[in-house]
This record gives sequence, C-alpha cells and structure tokens, in this order.
Amino acid sequence: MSISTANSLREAPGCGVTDDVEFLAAYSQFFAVSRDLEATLETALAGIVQGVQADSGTLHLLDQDAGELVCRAAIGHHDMRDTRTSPEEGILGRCLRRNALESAEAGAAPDTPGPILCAPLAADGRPFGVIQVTSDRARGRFTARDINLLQIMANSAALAVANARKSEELVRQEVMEREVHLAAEIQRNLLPQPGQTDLPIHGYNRPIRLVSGDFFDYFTLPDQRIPFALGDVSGKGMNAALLMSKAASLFRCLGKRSDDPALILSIINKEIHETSSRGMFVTMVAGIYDPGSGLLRFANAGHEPPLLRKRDRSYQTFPAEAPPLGIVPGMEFWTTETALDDGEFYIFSDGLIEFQYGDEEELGVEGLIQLLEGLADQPLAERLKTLLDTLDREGWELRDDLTVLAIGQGRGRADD
Amino acid sequence: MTKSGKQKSAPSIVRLSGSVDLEHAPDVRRRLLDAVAQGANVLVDLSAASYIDSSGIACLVEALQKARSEGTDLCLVAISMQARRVLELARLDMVFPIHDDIAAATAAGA
Repeated sequence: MSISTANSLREAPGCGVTDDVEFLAAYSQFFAVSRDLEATLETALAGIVQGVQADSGTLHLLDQDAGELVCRAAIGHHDMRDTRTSPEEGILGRCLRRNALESAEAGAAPDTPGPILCAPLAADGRPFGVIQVTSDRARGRFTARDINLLQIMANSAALAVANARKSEELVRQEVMEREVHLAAEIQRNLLPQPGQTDLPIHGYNRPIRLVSGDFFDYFTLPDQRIPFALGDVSGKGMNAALLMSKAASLFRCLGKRSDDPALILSIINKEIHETSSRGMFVTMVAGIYDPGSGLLRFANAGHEPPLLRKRDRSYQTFPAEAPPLGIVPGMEFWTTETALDDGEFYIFSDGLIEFQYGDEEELGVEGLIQLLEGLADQPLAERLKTLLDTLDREGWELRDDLTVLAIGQGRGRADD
Repeated sequence: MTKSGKQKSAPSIVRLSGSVDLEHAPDVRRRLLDAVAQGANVLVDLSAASYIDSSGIACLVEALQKARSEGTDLCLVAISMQARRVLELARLDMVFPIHDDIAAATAAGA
C-alpha cells in the first residue's frame, strides 16, 4: 500500500467513534498483509498523520550500532529523511528514553511553532523508534482523542514494523545461508575428491560448521611422487575458511614447482603474513612422499606433531620446529626426512585429538593411537572412515574442524 | 601514560583469566589492543588463564604485531600449564617473549 492508498483509508475524515474504529481496522488490515519494511514505515506514518489530523510527521528508528535515531519516513518534512538525532536530545529522545507518549503545546518547543505529539515504537517492552506528528500553530494542542488514537495506532505500527524487520532479517539470513552453502561447496572442491583408493594417501575433512578452517591436499607429480599438506587456520567460520582457501591455493601452486617442503612453507609464511589480518595464522605440515623409495620429506609449521606408526607398531611423533605461518616474516623452516618403511604416517588437525566424551574426557594422542591399533587390520583407505564412524558411534563429540591425512601402503588384512 | 614516554614508561599489564577462546576473543582483543595503544610495553599475565585456543592466540599475535609495529613489545608471563603446552607445541615460544613472572619480565627490560 502506498501513502496515497493510506490517505484514502478514510475518505471523509470525521471524529466519530465508528469512523475511528473503521479507520483503525483498515490501518491494521494493511499491516496484516505487508512484509515490506519501507512500505510499512510509509503507511504507518501516513495513517497516523491522517488519523490525528496532523500537518506533518516523521518516523525515526533507532540505529543500535550508532546509538542514534534515524528518520526513515517523513510527511511534510521531506528534508528530515535520513537525518540523525541523539536519543539524549529533545522531545524525540525523551519519548524514546521514557518509552512513553510525549506532547508539547504550540510554542513549547524551540524549533517547532505548532503542537507536537510523539509516540514510542516498542517491541517486547523495548522502544526501537519514535513517531512524531506536528500541527500548525493555530491548533494550539492535540486533543485527548488524538492522543488516544496515536497511542493505539503507534502500537499497531510498532508491531507491523517489528514484523517487517524480522521478515527482512529472515530473507537476509536465507541469502547468507545460501552463500555459505555455496562457499562450502567450493571449499569441498578444493580438497582431493574421494575415490582414488589405489593411491597410498587418504584424507578426510569434517567441518564443525558449514565451512572449514582446515584443509588437506595431495596430488601426483609426473614422476609419481606425491606432494601433500594439511593445514589448520586459527579460529572457526567464514574468516578461517577464506584464509584456508588462500593457504590451500598457495600450497597447490607451490607444491607443483618445488620439492622442498621448508622452502614451500617459508614462501607461504611470507605471503600470508603480508595480507593476514586480526593476528590470524595457519599451522601446516607440508611434504612430499616418494612411493618408489618410501622416503617421506616434510616440514612442520606450528602444527600438531604428526605420528609415524612403524612396522614394529611403535609410534614416533614429529613436533614442530617452527611457529605457524603468517605470524613472523622471514622465519626459517626445516625439512625432516624419514623412511616410511612399511609404516604409516598420520597428520591431523587438533579437532581429531580434541574429540570429547562427556564433559571432561578428550581423545588425546594416546586415545588416537589405541583406536588406530584396533583398526590396523583394515586397508588404509577404509581405516580413516572406520575411525571416525567408531568415534561417532561411541558418542564422542566433535568440538573443532577435523582433518586427517594418512600415508602408507596400508597393508591391512584385506590387502593380504 | 603517554606515547612520548613509551621507551621508559612502566609496562601495561593485562591479566587474562578463564578461557581465552573464540567466545571471549572480542573482549580479549579489545583489552590487548587498548593496552598496546597506551604506548608502553605490554605484559600479559596468563596465570589465571585455564584454557587458550587458536582464536585466543590470534588475539595475542595481533597485539604483538601491533606493538612491534609501534616500537614496543608484548610478553607473556606466568603461563598456566595448559596454555604453556599449547604455545610450546605450536612453537609460539619462538614468537613471544615468555617470562616466569612480572618481576622477571621487568628485570628483562619489559
């Protein structure tokens, strides 16, 4: 409904009770169908100006962030639109602060010669705006009937504005949710796609939210060597996901051009530091595996120590020798070399060992090792899935993004 | 405390307690950056910080980077066991100056 439609709510203005009831019914009827905030604001004001037979009016909503009242609709004072008023000032501010109707007779307010009426717009008892109407000086004051009518109409308008705002918020949330789903899909496509079970490397990623701050990657070079990486960005959610995408892209690009993990990490460190914000950083293990020789070379930037399960079922950890990426430029990284020797190499984000059972118990590295030992008969390709299925089935709760990467020939019983 | 006295003025002390994590990061970040803005070195007392996660560490990193860009420094003092384990595992002891207590940090020139 437009203002002109609102103006025609009452074809012949009168002061009778029946007229008022019919007018209020038409006023409420519009709000029952409108979900458009701008139209609701315009109609709310137009109806009130007409109802109390005022000459002009303004509708102000509280900008919570700025702590100011912003004029969102105006009749007769078009230059007022978008102007800002402090809630500490004047009759407008008093009306909002007291959450109560305020009136001033003609000549009482410095800038307005005629009488003024202000009514708060409130939801759940909390004021979020003010409607102000004024008339010419000759009128002197608004009548008790005007005040009653304004009170009723402002309540009705407040409900309508609150509903329209909620409605707009829902639409915004839906758009946002669609975008996050799209971002999550693009992110999943950055990870190696499952299905290549013939490779001696397998990964798994499960975000705690829709998007992930973790990533893993691997690919096969023409000489059959396999560069690999697993990273974990500080924090969670979209900001972590965006930095994750950058770190993953840098690795994929550099991993094809250098077989020196320490050099790759030092370049990524510099790149991330140059553009990182809010102290965000990335812990990462990057390396290259040669299936021909069984030789594994990797570097660790502040990441959870990877685990090497040796042929004799003993485990070796490889703590980081340098801090995470993106914190200090010019940091030096070191490459560690080890032979896989029929063992298996596990790299994981802390989400795996921070799986929680009840209020206190965390899986921890020891718990992870116990689980891995129980699954040692399985081919490596299935082992990660079974590991996570087992944790889910036993009631362990995921607390953070989870990523795990396993390298090895994985000669479980099924392979024998 | 003014910027003009940043080399000589007494360090600002920020005491973080409880969980220094994603949930509390906005408050932790504001307190640390406010302390850095004072213009003196900042000592972050972590003796009562029972838990720290990567979001909490990011707040410390941002404050450290800001301090160093303005010619001051930020050090961690009296770190609880849990926080020490997390920081050392990630080799953040190579990034932050760490002292046993405020007296040791002050003696070291903080």
